[in-house]
Amino acid sequence: MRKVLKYGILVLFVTAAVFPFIWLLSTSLKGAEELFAFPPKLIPNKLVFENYSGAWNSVPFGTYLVNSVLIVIFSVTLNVLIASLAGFALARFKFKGREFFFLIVLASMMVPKEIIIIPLYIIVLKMSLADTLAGVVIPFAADGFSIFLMRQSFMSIPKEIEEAALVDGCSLPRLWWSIMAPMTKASMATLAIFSFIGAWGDFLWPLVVLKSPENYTLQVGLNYMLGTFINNYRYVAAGAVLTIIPVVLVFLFMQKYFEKGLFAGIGK
Amino acid sequence: MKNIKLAVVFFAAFLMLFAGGCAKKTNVITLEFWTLQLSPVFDNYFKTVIKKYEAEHPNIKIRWVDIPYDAAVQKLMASIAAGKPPDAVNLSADFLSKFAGINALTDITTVIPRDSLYIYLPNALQSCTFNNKVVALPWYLSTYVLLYNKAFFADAGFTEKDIPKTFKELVKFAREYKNRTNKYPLFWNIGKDSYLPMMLESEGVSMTDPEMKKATFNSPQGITLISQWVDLYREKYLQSESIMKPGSSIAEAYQSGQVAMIFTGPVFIKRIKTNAPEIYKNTDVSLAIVGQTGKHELAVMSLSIMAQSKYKKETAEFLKYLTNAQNQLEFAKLSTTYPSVKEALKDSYFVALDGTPEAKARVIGAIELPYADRLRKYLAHPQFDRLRDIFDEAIQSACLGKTTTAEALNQAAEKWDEILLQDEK
Amino acid sequence: MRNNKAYYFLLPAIVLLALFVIVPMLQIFYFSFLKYNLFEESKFVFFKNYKLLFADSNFRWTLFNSIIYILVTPVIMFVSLMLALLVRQQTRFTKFFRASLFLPVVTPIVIVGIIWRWIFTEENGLLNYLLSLFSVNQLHWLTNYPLNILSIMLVVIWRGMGYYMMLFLAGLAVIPREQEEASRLDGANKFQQIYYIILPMLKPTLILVFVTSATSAIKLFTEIYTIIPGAPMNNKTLVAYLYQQSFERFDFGMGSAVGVVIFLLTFAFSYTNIKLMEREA
Repeated sequence: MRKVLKYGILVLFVTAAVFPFIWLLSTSLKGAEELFAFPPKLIPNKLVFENYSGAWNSVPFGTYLVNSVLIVIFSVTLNVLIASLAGFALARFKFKGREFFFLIVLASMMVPKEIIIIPLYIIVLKMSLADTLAGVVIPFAADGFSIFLMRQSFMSIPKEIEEAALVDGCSLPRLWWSIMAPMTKASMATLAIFSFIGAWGDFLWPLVVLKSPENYTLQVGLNYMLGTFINNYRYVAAGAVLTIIPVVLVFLFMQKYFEKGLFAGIGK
Repeated sequence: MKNIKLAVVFFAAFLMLFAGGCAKKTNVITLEFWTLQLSPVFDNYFKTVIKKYEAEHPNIKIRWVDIPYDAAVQKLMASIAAGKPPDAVNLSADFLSKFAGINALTDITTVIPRDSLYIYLPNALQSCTFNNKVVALPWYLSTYVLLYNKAFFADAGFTEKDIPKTFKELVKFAREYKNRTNKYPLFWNIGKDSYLPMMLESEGVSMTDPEMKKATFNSPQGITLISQWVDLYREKYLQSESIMKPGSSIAEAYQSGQVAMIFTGPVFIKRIKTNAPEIYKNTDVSLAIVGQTGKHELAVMSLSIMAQSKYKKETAEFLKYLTNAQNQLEFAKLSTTYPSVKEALKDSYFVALDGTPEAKARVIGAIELPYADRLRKYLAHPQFDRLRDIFDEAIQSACLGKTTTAEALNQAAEKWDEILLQDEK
Repeated sequence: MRNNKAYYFLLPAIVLLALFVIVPMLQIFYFSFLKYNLFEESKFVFFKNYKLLFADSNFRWTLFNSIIYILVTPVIMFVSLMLALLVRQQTRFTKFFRASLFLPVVTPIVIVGIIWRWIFTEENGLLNYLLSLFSVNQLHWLTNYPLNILSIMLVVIWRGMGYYMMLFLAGLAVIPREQEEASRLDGANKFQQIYYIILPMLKPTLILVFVTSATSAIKLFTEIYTIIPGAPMNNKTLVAYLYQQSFERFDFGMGSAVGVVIFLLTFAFSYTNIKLMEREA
């Protein structure tokens, strides 16, 4: 009985969650005649794969893809690394100014992005990072939320682990790298996913920083497909599906870090 | 060991991210030119046009940057704040007014002789003039036509002679259509970026007095005219989202078959063809709906020289080139818009019918073009966006039944007066 | 554990944050004391922007509207925690469920807007259509204020449940199973297990989720902008107001003042709550 309830709830939520994506997928495979058919059909009569090649060719998808991939790889790596280091320090140590640094981390989460880009752009320009992919990545390599996330994660680790390791004469970097960070694998995986999504889906900042079309990213490209002069809903849907799939793949890949057993064998 | 190798590769790749963004120093002048969402559709056009210009002017290089409409303002503001704005920028009517208001644009007549401006349509040039300063060169234009669905009309028992030509006829027709078919007659943006001010102006009721010191849209005639539309909404002759959706989404309702007609620019026909070929097949074109004065709206896209530009003369020369008859004609053919140059409009392209709705719209629009005007006269006021928002809110409030039409308009007029009486800054 | 070597670990983060976040924010603070449109000469006006801001009735509505959105937070927390507990095990089914629940997070906001607008369409949108099947009156999901706030909240919950579910899953992964097993053998039922064992150990994550979702709620902008553009009252939320002042009125001084208000509000809220919740640590 309990299982029925459990699966019932899940199915309900999953349906609600998946439904728009199904609609999107359906639109991306429809021919123009079926787009506005009423009542709306979920499964198209005729599968039209041309929407995908059309989308791919209507904007320089290939270039945008490469740029997005580069940006994402560096953003995620830097994000996770820096956040893990900082979270580790904030969670496990007492030192002068710890409160203050934590306040800074917190404050950085509160800053409204829409307006901060103006002074930020000026700084980036002065550092000669304008119109480069580095200019897109570096300003957001350290992220308040990421650090906060890792801090909370490190806080969950029992004190005994630390004490045992230090008694064994473990150095701090090793404590971090070999012992504690691996225990936060699930959080790091989550952070990696979120960071991926953030970098992959970012529209505003890349747009402000970049000027050369060779540097533009996927989101900018997707946005270009909806304009006055070019406005093909089915291509846009196909383009959107293409941008979603890599994220889902990364998500599924990261799932393995959620295996339980993180504590198995680490006990005294 | 493996970790170190990985780190080195990582770092090397990281350096790759720094590529780009460096300019070489020579005595070549680079002009930066921004357009609004014209890429990638017009990539070839611009590349060809620019190449030709650069060949004829070896000391000039044009850097073309296209920006999506969505974040255009933010990107432009960021560049201005950083002291690195473009030399030339393509602006829509709203942007033009705003930037003119903060004195961000150069008066073109200070850089090129006034008589070189005579090649442009006078009404287009007028739309680029603020406070007697010509702050932009008019570029591509659009005006309005009526797109309607022949099949829906026939189903409802209407023929061509029933097609409304004036706003008065439109109101009557809307009621008649819904009464017969129980479907919505048209979609019109009355509550966000409302078209109603343009309707008023077309009917001869100005939004303000000529000096722009007092609001006059709440005159008895103004209230009567607006009430007609508010009543249509309240009595459910218009979709409830008519007070919310802006003019840019006007095609949605039509192409999904929800409404029988829309009043918009010919440039939207292509979109209808791409997304709803069935509807496109049944689409026909009629004259723009006008009021007593017979005037209708002109939408102008223009090109300005930013005041911070170091190369005003060179930029002006380039802009003149871009807006010359030949280049504009070519662009018009690609884009379903109109050139702003008298010469180009004489081309047979704007007279030839070929049975498609695009051609018909083009021809009709071309005939109407000399009589189109910037009906939103209050656009010339530096705070026009506040005025627009106040008016929009008044309409929404009246339509939702929160106030009567008269009350809403009177309150809005009061607020307008406050702003209009404030002097600059 | 006391150790000053911690500074080295913090260094990269602090340097980057200081340069790219703190410095620009300080500049915004500075701008808020100016009358400045980014183009012409700026004028120092002290607190005039703030005075005007708080005297403006529109702004008071804006504050109110933004703060109301915090009401989503408890709902989101409940839903995402529940979902996390339901998909805790690593089976093939749960992997599918997790990925599905996560889809709303990765769907581009433009698409989200289109779909939800269709759901909320007042003539024959999905919701009103369903209501009509039950002979219930059509509701004005989009044009009626305050109903449209509820509509947006629905979308926010829909979008956030997968996101926060992942955070809870990460938090749950660190909890040693032995304690749960032991309590079950002791006769505790599911709810008791959750309440007495899991929740306390999940505390750091709960704090994170609470603070993050509440501050996101206050700063809500894109969802509102894509789903109910032009709706009554829709531009009366904090970030929308900021956007309007900065990029429509070009009053950058005022926009910065709004930015400062948003910053102080969210910061005070978060800090207070963290301190309160961590006190029992």
